[in-house]
Amino acid sequence: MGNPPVPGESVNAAATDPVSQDSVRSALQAAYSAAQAALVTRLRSIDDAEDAMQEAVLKAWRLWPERGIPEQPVAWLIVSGTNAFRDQYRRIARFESAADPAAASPTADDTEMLDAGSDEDVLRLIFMCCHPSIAAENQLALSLKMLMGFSPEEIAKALLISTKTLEQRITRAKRKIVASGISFELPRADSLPLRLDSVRQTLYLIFNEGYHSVGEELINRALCRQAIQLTRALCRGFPDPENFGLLSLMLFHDARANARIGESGELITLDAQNRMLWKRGQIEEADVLLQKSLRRAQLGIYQLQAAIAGVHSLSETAEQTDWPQIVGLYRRLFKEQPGAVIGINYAVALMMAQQLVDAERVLLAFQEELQGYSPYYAALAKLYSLTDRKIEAAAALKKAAAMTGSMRERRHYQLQLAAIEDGSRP
Amino acid sequence: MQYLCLIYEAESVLPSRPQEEQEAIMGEYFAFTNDVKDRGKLVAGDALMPTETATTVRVRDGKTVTTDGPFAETKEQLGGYYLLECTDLDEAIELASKIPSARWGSIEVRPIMVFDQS
Repeated sequence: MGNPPVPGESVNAAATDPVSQDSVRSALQAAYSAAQAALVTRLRSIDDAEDAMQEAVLKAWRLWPERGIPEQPVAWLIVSGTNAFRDQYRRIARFESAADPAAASPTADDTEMLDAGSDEDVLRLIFMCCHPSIAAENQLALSLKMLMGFSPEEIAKALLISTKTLEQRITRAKRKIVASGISFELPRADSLPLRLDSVRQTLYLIFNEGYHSVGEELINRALCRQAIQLTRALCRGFPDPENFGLLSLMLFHDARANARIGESGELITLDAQNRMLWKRGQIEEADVLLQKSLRRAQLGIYQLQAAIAGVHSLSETAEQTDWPQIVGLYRRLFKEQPGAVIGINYAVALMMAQQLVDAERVLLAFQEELQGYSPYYAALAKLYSLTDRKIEAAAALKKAAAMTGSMRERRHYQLQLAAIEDGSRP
Repeated sequence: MQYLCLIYEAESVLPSRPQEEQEAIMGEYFAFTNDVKDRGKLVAGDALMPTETATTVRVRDGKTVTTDGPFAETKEQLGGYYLLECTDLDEAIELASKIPSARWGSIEVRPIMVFDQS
């Protein structure tokens, strides 16, 4: 018996328009998590599913540019991957005749395939990759590999680590899955809150990787898009208020992506962005999702961050920003997560709301902890400038400039320093 | 006579197509809209935000019960629609709960999609 036909293959065989590399790439990325998850479900082994997926992707790169992208990319990849696994199995079985090929080889029923690629498979895969017993950095590496469709080289570049380190992390994550007997099932109700926390954290890390990293723009945009796509699936499967909060937060930020980078690649801060470039429609959707989550009255860190992003996004100009409201939201967030990053942002919000005494109190609490952290000194410099302590402000800016690893930021601090020193001359 | 044309599709299909194809389909939509507009046939038309934004409203024993997502029962059939201008989702849900059928059926509240000018 031959391999079953791959859906869509014959239909598009006559297509003559060659498809661009970018199109193939984006279609593959969009279909990746669903196809990979379905293969894990069918083959019951991460490694086999990964190999099968790799074969399917190679085949897609061979055929799609000429023949066009199939009607059902997910189903196409699942069938191609399953067939590849089967061929591989047959080759092995010839040498190890003791094994029964019928027992292990998956059935490749066409119609069943077309229904495959369900949210449920994807969610199972997300929960497996993000199991709390796997170290966070290894969760991230495995998720990027299994859910995103990037090559190890691309992932390593995005994470600013070597390909070897990446592969070690993926191996460690997989070993943990086997050793701890992590099942490829949706979590039970009693463990759900903890499991969801872990999934949200990793999805947010993936999004932030795309949003803040200095890597290749094309990959960064794809990372954000994929993180949003997976969070949408999470919301559909588990309508938890924090899941909606996370999706809202991502959409608010992503809507501003076009305005964040200047013509020569420089970062444009929120107050200086051209708000006409923000995606209004996406901001509206983020706002509805936030409202939806808040109705459940189970406030959490993602809803709070989304609410903060929302105040910025819904403000027509930077000057009209409702800082007292942002301060209130940061106060609650800071109570939930009393860490340095939130603390600095809280302090800056307090300064913007003219609550300078409180701002100083919050900032100085981190004096010990944040020695050597340039954003801390930048915030301190802002505070000293606002309270007319020019010498202290200049000293803080010098520290900030000395400590940052970014040329762009250093230049920014030096310009501020020059402005202060100019202004203090008699 | 006016006719309501309801659009059903798998939500995941369009976003998984290449960018050019999505743009081409958007172009077809604009062309269709302009065509029915020019012929004086268009009364109204909108796209809806994705299902993650949906809230289903039911009133049972006098209490408003909301669930996340578009969850009509399979035995329920579409019977009508209202397009309401509301200040926020709370108001939309509040008004939806006053629709008589909310007491024995369900009202799916979905925001209208806002398109960016580009």
